Amino acid sequence: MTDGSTHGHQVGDDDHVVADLVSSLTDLRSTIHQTGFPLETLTAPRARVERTRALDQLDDYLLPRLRSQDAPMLVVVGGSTGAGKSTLVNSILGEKVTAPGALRPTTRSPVLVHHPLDTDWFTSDRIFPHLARETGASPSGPPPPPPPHGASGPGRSPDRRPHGDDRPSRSLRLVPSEALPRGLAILDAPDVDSVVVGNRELAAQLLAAADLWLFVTTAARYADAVPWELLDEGASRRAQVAIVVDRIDPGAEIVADHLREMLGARGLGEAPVFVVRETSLVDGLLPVGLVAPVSRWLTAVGSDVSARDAVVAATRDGVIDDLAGRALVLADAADAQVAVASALRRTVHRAYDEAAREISISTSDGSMLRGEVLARWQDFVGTGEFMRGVEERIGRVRDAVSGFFRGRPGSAPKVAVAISSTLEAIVFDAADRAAERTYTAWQDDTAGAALGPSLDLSRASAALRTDLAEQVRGWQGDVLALVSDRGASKRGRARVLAVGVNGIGAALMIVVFASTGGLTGAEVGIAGGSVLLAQRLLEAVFGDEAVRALARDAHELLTSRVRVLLDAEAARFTSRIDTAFGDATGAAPTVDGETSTRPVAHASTHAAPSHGTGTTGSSTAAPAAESTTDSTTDGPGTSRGGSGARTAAPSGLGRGSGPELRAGAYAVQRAAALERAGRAAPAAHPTTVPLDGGGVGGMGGMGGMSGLVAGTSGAAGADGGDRVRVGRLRGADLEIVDSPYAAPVPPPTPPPVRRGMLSRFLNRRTDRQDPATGSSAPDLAPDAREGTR
Amino acid sequence: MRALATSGRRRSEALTLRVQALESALVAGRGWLDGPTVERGEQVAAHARARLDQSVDHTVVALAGSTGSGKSSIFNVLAGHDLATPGVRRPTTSRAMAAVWEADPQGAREASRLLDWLDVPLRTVLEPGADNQGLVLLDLPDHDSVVVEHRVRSDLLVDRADLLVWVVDPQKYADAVLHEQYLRPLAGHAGVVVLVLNQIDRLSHVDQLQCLADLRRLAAQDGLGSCPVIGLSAVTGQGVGELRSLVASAAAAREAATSRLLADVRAAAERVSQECGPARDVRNRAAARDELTTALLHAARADVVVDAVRGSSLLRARAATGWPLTRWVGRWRSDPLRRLNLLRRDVRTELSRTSLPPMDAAMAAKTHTAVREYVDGASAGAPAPWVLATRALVRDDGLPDALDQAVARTELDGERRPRWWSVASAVQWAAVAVLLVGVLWLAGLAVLSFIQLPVASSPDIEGYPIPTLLVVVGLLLGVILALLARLLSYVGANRAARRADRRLRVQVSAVASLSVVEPVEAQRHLLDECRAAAALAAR
Repeated sequence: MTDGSTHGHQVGDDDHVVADLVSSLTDLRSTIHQTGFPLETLTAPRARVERTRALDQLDDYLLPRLRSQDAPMLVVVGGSTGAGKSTLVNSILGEKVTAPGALRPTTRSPVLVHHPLDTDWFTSDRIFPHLARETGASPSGPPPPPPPHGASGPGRSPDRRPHGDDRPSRSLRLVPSEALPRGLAILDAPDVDSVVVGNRELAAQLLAAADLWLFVTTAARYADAVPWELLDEGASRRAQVAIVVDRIDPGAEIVADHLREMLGARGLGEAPVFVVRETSLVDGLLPVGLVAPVSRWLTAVGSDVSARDAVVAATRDGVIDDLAGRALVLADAADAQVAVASALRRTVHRAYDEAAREISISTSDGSMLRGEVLARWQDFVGTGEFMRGVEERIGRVRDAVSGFFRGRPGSAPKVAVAISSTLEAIVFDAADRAAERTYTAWQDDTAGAALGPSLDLSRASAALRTDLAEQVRGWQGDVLALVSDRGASKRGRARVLAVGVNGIGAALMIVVFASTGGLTGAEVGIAGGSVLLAQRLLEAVFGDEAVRALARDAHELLTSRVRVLLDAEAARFTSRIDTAFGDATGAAPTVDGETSTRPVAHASTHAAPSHGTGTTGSSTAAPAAESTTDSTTDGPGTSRGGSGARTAAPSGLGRGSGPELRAGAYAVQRAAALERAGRAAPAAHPTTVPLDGGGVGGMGGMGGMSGLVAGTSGAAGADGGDRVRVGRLRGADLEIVDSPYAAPVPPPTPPPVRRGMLSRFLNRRTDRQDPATGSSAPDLAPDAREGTR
Repeated sequence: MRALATSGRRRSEALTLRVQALESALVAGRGWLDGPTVERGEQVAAHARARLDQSVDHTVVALAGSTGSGKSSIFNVLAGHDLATPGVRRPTTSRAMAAVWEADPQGAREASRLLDWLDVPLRTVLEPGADNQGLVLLDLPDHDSVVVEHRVRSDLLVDRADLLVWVVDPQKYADAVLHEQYLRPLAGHAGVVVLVLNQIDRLSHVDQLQCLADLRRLAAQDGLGSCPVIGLSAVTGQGVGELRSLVASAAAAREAATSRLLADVRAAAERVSQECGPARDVRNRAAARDELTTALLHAARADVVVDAVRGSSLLRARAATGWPLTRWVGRWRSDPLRRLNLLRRDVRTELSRTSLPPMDAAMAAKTHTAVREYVDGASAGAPAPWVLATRALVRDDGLPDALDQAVARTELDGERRPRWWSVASAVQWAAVAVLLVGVLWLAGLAVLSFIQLPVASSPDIEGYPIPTLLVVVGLLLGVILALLARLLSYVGANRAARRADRRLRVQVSAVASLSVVEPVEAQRHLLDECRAAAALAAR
């Protein structure tokens, strides 16, 4: 970003184009970061892995690589446990920078070897922001003890923790070595297949950040499944790979051929394969003759600017393509998450809407009036058994009314109590059943079951009984308020006062429970004269029309109060979805730097807390900021009821949803296509560099290196140009016999332009192009344009 | 030899018992145990039965390991012949190969049947030495090969072998695949697993010791703390003797076959056991049962019925013992029991419903809630899948009907006529007769006086004329008797009501038992049975 910007090939438009690419990648990163996959959909497990990988790719490789294109090429030495990675690295350098051992896994904290003048590239948190740095070689000392498992990793500023994972804290040991040419750095990674999970993850992550893989395997395990999975993955994103087969016993050279076959079958046929025989170590190092081809090749690739840029560009292009593809996968998975979340919500709302409907029916079809309520009402209006008989036979309403007026005023509260207990029973039962229905439905659904509803969710909540009593009392209060309100404005005020508000209220409640669809009980004929009596009474006080309105209002009040309760019940389920999304994205675990137990003995240069780019600003996605995605898919009744619980939408689904990911991916592809068009097309096989015929042997190689030194001395001059020495890997100047390449090296003709790749992206781009940006790349790939017409 | 054979038989009998216990646990828990658990359990049980069908006098020792760890070399060293061809090109061994040490032709046939079951066609019969009679040694394909077929074949044999010798090498002994996929599932099988660190000649002496210690540590992490770990070199012969004698002693003891199965059965039963959860103290559920019955009584409108019984009894008592001249008023009223269609002489209970008011919404809700509360109480602390299965079993849809039938079935004594009713009635009629006589007498006297006929003065008692006395006594007697009878009939009606209440409770309680309590209890028995059987199998 800073000290390399004067480099020759990066001027004017290029800067602009690259900046565009970086900003589109940054946007994509924040979108990916905001997208969580908390629900166990079919695609979720894979999506979570892809998300982590995508973020790692961006943080550890793509963004740093694009921001500082002149950073040294990073060669990551990876491979199986016990393959001899550390020995190989030491032997190439000619000094013991890492400690190999017989115990597995060996390399516990990765070691990065670089030229002394390249130190600045690696001490900042430009790459591997989550790895603390240690400096100073410890050639023979034991590696620092592994951190206690599960200790949360500090060592970086909290805001740089990209995605709330709990990887064990790690550190990266920086070892300057003058044996290394400038512009080349070698990272000795942990095993890819060790029993320590942390090692495996770290290795995969380091490999993902490599400009070039040096994959070390052995004669015994070159057919292992795990490394091949990694290699397959590398091949899929066109990572530049070279293979070292270590520990080949004499007579077992056939494995190299077999290995080439296997590589060819996986599209890695062009990868150089170096064979290192099993031998005894001299001073802990392999004999110089055995490592010479590797050294020579590394020198050839690393010291020549154009060869190096070709490798770097090929890997970078591959990663960008891979990332875009990954973002599309993530987009699909995010869509699936949204779909599943709303399906789960629908299940909840359907169950509770059904409960509301049941309650609404039982409270209006008169079935409530069969039991205790009716008995208390009849007590209230003073009709004994005889009067009941009379009512049935003669229907002498007048007598009953007179009985009512003479009736015992003290029994009005009894009617209210009977109504309360009946209502409570009905609502509680409905809530219970809705909970059970929802619970069962969630249990049958993988995503629902994974949200871990405990058994007590299958019943109405413990608080419901008290809340319910409160609401029912509240409703009765509402009814009384309604009665005194309407009574006050009516001519029947005196009559209301004469009968008593309580009596009128009770009568109104009775009428409410018997009014089906606007027809009041008297018209439907429910419960005989009892309701009729209440009806007549109300009509006498308020008038015909007013009674209907009153009954309707009272019922609506009841419905809305019940709705509030049911919403609170439903929220017990939906809040699980919300919490899941909240956990997955919004609230990354806080990093407690002080309480950490991580050993910091070697730490001298900690990652600076500032990063300075916009990548982190978006990590503070406000929870519940956006609810649009979800509320559209809510079940019916979203707008009903005043419950706040229902309107809380998952924060994670808001911005990082599928369409946005897709848009981000296309933007990256567009920017990448522009960037590619601005430079020479990458070589088909950048790792195939000529090694024989004096190309780099002896003076040729030196020439290349001096070119590099000349090219960068401007930057290096300030801090002691006279100390600059040409790095020389051990054995790099030896003649080598066996070519590491499968086929003879082609003459250094300009490599073919990879039209296929470019046109694929342009196709996609032009498909989605809007008129505003249509003119941005008119002459990129005419053939691609034609293809779309 | 004979002693060994009997001990082997006894062991296999013990194993059979355990397998049976495991199977019965699986049967009892089928409704709610986790699918994979049942599957694994059944697989283990079936496998154990199949292996017990085969010769238990042979011990199958399998050499398993990663590609290139030198299984075939060890196989050859142990066999004493170059039977397998080790190779450098990976993967090497594609088919399993067997060596059988067996002198007896009958035994050889049995071994051959065993190998057929194991699906190992490549076999060599070797002359047994002093200690390895009955040993079957298998060389397995790589477990980590890129060729999937090899892995599958290897996994099958790993599952079926009696003694597993895992061959690892200094490069690969910490591979994740080995530990996570193979050794950890074998946790608890330490007795039938041997870890061999091959190619130990490639390490310095110090490294050898460290490496072996590290391997032991990893094995302990995998739950194989006590399994033997041997450093071996097929090239120099170091450690070969140790492995040979270990294998030979396993073959001679004839325990490996059953030990492995025992460990498998135990692990499977352990899993079942865990899903059963800990045994719960079954407290007295009588209180909960009473609560349920009370709630159901309420739902069945027992209060209405009891009131009706009381009313009916009162009505009939009044009709039977009231003052005969005003009894007719009672006819105006219908018998409340008849109104409920509960009067015996009118209805055949099996065929008709009562005319009780249908269960209203509140009643239905209360019934459901009561049933749920009972089930929840009975299943508190039980594993969740079991609770769900139990809930599904208890359906309360049919309860209203069942309750109605229960009420209809109950003998409510609608026809009962206490004896004192007839006595009281007779006395009443007598009083009426006296009254009538008095009235007639007085009427006669009145008529006589009306038509101006001389009237003899009525006989009197202490100055009160007898006809007047008759009227007064008849009236008073009737009224007093009626009042007395009414008092008594109140008492009787209350007794009838209490009786009806008791009987209703019995009937409703039977309904509760049938549709709620018994299914729950049956489920709980299954759970207990499953837990007990699993514990037996896992012991």
